[in-house]
Amino acid sequence: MTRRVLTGAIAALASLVMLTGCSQTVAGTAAKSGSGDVPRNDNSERKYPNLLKECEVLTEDILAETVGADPLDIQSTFVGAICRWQAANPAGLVDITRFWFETGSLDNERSVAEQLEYQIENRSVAGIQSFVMRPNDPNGACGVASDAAGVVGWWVNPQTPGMDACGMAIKLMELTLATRA
Amino acid sequence: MIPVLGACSDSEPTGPVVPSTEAPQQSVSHGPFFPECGGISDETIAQLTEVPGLVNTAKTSVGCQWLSGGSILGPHFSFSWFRGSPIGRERKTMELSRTSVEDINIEGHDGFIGINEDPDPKIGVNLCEVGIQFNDDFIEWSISYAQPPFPDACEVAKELTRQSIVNSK
Repeated sequence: MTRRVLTGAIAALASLVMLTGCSQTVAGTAAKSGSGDVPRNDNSERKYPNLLKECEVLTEDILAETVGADPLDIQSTFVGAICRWQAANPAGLVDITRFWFETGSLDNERSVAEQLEYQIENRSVAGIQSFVMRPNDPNGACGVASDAAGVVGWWVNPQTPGMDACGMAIKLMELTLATRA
Repeated sequence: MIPVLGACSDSEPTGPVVPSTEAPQQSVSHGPFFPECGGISDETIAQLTEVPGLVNTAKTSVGCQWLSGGSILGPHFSFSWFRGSPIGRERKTMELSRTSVEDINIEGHDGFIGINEDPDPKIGVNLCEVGIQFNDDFIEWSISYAQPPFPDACEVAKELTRQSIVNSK
């Protein structure tokens, strides 16, 4: 979801916590997870303790620093299982994308990258099976996906040529995988 | 908020920032293949959103983002393709933060449509997001305007979603 009005979301979540923080009773009938007619992938009632935190695995300062931008020159544009930011490297703007698909897989990501006709290089990042993908982009856009808790990925899309986007994406992945230690 | 939580020592511990449990891998069923940007060209985005000077700033394996002049200061439009991620979580986020979220069906596929309405009636519904489920995958179009005048954001989101579904393989 787009980042605009996220402040409202945080306020709504905060008030939800305040209201329910001490309550132990919940109305309704207990049901086993996955039971009923609701497909498990569409169950809004499920608890999501990490709601809105998925984008915070690395702080914005670290993101900015990794792509050569001032820590104050970065802004989030989209949050959720896919997160997007834009940072200002002195050479030009850089878009950063992170994804985390908890029931996804590295194999499925590789299959999609192949269908998109990206150049693919299998490699290990911080000891984790990964691949680097490069579209035919004049500004050198580059992505990396790793086999971790489903599948995790980073993309770096500079708006000007000459930056080491693959190096930046791999660095972000190394930092992400390090937080799991 | 912290004192309230502190008073309830028997409440559920808050979850870690990084999900710590390995995801269950049983019977994950992925949906169709969507071409880059959902198969939507920069020209189609410009025509449907009625915003000039858009730049596709983040063309990736998980979607695309179009920004006015390439900068985040202005309208935001994006396509996102989630592969093995619960649409329910995305919907819940919207239910907690948007003016309204409702069910929708586009081209025979179910999902949600969420809007945000600016308190200023001169601005009105400035944001519309449509998410459509395909087994354990989903796609989402996000249409967010900055300054009026602009066309009906939900009509733009629904048409882009429809075209993306038609473009899927």
